[in-house]
Amino acid sequence: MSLFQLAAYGAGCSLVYYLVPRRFRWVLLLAASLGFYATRAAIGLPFILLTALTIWGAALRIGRIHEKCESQIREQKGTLTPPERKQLRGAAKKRMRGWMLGALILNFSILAVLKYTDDVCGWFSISPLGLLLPLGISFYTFQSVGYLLDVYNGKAEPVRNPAKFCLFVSFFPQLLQGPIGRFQDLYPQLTEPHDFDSLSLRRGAVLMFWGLLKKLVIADRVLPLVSSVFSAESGSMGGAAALIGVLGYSLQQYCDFSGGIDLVTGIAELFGIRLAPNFRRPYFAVSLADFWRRWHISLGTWMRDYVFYPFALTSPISKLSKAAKKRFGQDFSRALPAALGNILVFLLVGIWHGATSNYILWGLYNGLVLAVSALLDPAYRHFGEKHAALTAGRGFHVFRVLRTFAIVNIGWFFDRCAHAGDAVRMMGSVITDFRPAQITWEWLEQCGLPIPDAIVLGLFTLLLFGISLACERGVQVRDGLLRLPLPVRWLLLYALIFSVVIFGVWGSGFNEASFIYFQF
Amino acid sequence: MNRFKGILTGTLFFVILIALLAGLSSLFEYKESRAKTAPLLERAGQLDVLFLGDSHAYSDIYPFELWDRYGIAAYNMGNYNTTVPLSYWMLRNVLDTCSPKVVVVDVNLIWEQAKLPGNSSDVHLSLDGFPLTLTKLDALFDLMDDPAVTDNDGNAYPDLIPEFIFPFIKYHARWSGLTSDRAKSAYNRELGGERNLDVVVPSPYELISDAAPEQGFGFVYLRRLIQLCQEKGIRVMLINLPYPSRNEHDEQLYTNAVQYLADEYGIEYIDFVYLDQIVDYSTDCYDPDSHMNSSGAWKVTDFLGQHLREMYAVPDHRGEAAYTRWNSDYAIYCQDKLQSLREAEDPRIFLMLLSDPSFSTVLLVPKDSAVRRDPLGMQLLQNIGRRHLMAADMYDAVWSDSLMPFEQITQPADTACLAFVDRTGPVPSVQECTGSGTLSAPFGIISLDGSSPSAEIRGTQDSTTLTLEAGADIAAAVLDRETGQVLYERSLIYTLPQ
Repeated sequence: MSLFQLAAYGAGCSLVYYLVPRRFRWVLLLAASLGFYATRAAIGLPFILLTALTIWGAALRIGRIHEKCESQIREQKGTLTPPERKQLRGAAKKRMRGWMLGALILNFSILAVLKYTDDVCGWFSISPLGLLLPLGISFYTFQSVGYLLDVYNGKAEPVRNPAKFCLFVSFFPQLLQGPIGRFQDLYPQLTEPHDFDSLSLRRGAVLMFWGLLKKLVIADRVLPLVSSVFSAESGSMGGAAALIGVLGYSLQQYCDFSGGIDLVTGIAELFGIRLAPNFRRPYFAVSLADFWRRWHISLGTWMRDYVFYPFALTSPISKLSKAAKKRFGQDFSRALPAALGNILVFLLVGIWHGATSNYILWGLYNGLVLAVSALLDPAYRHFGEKHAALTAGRGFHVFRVLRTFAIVNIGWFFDRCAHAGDAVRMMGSVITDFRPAQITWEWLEQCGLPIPDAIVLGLFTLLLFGISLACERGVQVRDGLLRLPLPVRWLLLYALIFSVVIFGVWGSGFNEASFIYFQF
Repeated sequence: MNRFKGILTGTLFFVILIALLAGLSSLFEYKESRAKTAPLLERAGQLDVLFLGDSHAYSDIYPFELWDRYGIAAYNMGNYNTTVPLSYWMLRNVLDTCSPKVVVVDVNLIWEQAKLPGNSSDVHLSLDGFPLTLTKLDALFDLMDDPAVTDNDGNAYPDLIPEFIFPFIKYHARWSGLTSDRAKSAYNRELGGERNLDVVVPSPYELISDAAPEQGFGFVYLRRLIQLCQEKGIRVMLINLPYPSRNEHDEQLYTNAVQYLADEYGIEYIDFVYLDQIVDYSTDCYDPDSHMNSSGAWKVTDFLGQHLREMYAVPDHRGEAAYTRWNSDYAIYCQDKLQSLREAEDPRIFLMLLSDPSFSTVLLVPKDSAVRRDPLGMQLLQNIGRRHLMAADMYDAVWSDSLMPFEQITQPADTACLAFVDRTGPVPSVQECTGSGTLSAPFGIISLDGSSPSAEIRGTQDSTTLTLEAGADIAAAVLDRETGQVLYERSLIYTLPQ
């Protein structure tokens, strides 16, 4: 299903949504989601249903154990001593942990087997098995597991209706690229009926087209250039080409991912549902930590809540921190759990992208940079206090943004190259073999970016930069657009729509030569 | 009130959006398909004969020649790489508005196993011009039903259905190459045919007599097509148009098998590949092993015209008031052909085009002309006056005596110059052709003396003197077949090929 088809499907479903009685609106969403899944990837349907069922069952069981334990304590309020209450709760917690771990292991095992078997085969030079990967398995597994852990930790009440829970797991706009929704935020929105709101509809539609523009006009247009640079034979491209390739990849990654997220967020808004933001202009970040608070936010917060904090608060890490305090001082001991937590989190994030050396190295690279940053944080703060005039200036802010951008791009080399050695070689060429003369219009054309496409890419990238900068400065661009006088508003909306429709890379493409039969 | 205003505003927004999309769609569309289909749909109610097939049909059959000589109202629906299933569905779409008496199907691509060709652009050329109807949707869902079948770019055909329903999905990508010329609408002024202007030495070819058992979608849909026509009372004629076949894809095994199928349904099948005396591959090939040039197409078309008139009793509509437009369009078509003559830079192509049956020709060829040293040039000269003599049995069809037999051109060594008059039109067009030499043959060869030969051409209304310019190898005058009026004259230098 193309993005346009997804958008059309979402728009069509939203129209029906407001026509059905309020109490059946969640049923419509569920039917639309399962229908989407069945038509897009029917073979994966049993897997998503299995996840929904096992997590729902385990969470319900955990809730009941907890409820039973608490009701027992309430009933015997006067007779139980505190140690007995503690014992009862401990026993209940143990049983709850059993259910939680059972469901967690089952679902992560399914994810691991289906997602990583081929990668692992690659490690041992075994032919890939070509196992099917159900659509959105990473997203719905993480979202479901988040809910399970919330129930286990007493932060959420278990859902009693399995169909409603199934909707939470399978809400169709999220299945392609996320975001990973949080139960407390998303579930009530999905199950409660929303009334028709033209503003929400218009906001959603604008966001959808903006997402399509980023994805189809920018990301997919720069894609051939990036592919040419990164698939070129070693040594055939100089450092300048490598630099353009990685900058192109930066642009492509951002526009592809955030464009897709804008699209699904817009579709959700058509139903009156606000998904959690997943991007917040990450290339304006002033540090790598800031970048990861702006890039794939839902994965970052998931990792923070369910991996980073639990890990940092484990007793071995606490002991290690205490031991470090004696040897390296308080600042170091405070930063150590965060540093180790970051390394673990980004190792997992790397593996989440794929169990290949380049992703693992990319994850470790990010984790190590964040760990070093955490450990050097006291020194930064000291520098900032000492040179307050300098660090408060706009120039220093720009410097920090550019520095962060450079750090991120070094990581992108690892992310994009199939082998870590290639990434190192390409980065090396930027310093030792720059060859700027290689960059010509002809070279761009050979890399799949003819001059008209390059011009369109440049113009829309500038537009994206301008709008991002305005948003960064607090301008509500979307709301501002919808408040403009009607003629101007419509003109801009048509311009947005037709920019996507004309300049977007979609459809099978047009090659005049294929129509000129006798030329062959 | 606010709600009403909101609904009204929203509706207006979408109406404008759809109007803009429709306008853009029309602007961006690759115009060739509509150019081909629009004249067909405009004349659908008047057509007696439809030609279906691939590029062989497209290149080898000129419906306006059928109109000119036989008064047959026909349209050539042939298109590049059009498989038999695609032809079947094109016919289904046309039959929504058209009731032909005869459908002529070229079976050249019967050997193709798939429903559609690999080049999906060819399918666009065949289908885009048809309006979006239920029949067209049926066609798309039937032709593109197999996800395993992909086009040359690897797109599964079922995934391409949306872009066949809304071709803008494909054509929006033309934005970077859309010039004002390409954005203009186009119109096929040849009733679907296309003139191929080149003369190429043919490849060696071989004819085999074996036949393969029926297989693939080509036969399935050919049967459906015949049954459909028979249900509607339309006569079907199967043909395999001429070309020097190398049997590269075992195609002759399959085209030979068509005879059994034709016999089963009691319909006629003419295999021109075996009737290799209808055209002359030495002068009539556009490419070495596939398509005829205009000279070959004029011969094939003439043969088909006589056959359709005699065997299928297709009516002659010339002179009917309802068909007045056909005459005016034919005049435009002739102007286009004259333009091609004017623009022909290659002397071989120029000589090939002089065999056009719509015109008469007078030629002056001096003794030392370079064309006399080029065997192909001599064949092309001879070709100008050739016509078929139809025999009772079509397989006995033979060449007419050319008006300029080889021996008459090559033998008169003492002749300073030859003048050649093609007077084979329905009405002798050149009343008299005189020169300083003597008329040596009743139909056209004049030996001329002198260093600056010329011929006086007397038409019914005026007379013109054709003069060979100094240094030229040939002087040619193209005459109106009816009046002998000189429409175009030219002296040219004949450059021998390297």
